[in-house]
Amino acid sequence: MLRWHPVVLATALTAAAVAGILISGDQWAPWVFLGATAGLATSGST
Amino acid sequence: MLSSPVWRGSPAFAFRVGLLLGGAITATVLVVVGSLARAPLPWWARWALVGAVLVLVALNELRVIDVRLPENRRLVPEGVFRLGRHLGPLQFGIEMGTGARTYLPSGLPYIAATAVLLTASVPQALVAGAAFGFGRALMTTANLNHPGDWDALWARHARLTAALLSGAFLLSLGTAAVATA
Repeated sequence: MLRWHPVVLATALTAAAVAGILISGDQWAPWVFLGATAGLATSGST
Repeated sequence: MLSSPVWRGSPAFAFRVGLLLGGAITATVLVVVGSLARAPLPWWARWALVGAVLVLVALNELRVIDVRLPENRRLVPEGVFRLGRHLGPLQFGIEMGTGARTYLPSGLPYIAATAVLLTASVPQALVAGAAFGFGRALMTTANLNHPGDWDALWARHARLTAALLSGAFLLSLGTAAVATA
């Protein structure tokens, strides 16, 4: 399924990071996406 | 590993909870140790150290230097499933979520760990740790739901996904640094 494609996932997370950090300006957003991007980047380790 | 019972039904939920807990555990350890290590350092020196790790990881990823970063080069033992239908997947998730019990094929967690160690408050560390587990849960969920060989697909698009995730990571790190200053 397209929605689980690695490029779609990485793009969606990146878009969410840009929206969450730059648009919403939420104080927690940088720490959320710092962790989430690092976690997804470890893919292939299962 | 993907044929294990952890990937279906309520055990899968326990596994994902474990991933979040594992990330939070590592972050808690980092922030406790870091509260001692960072005490004598001004904020700019802490972020300078984070920057130094970032440069080291970047040079390593670009193969300019060859440094073996600390990594547990093994899979989480399947023996954890002996603990039961839910406790087994939970422990599997915790171990994988810590980032310290299995392979870590990206440099980004090292930078994130240094930032948490030297600059994060306890709530910020917990958020970052749980989010790390969420990122790993995204990967395992996608792996399960994709009909083809997801790992091969990831490898085929590794440059693009690495660029996207690194960009978002750097935006997050930079914003956290500016907010701390």
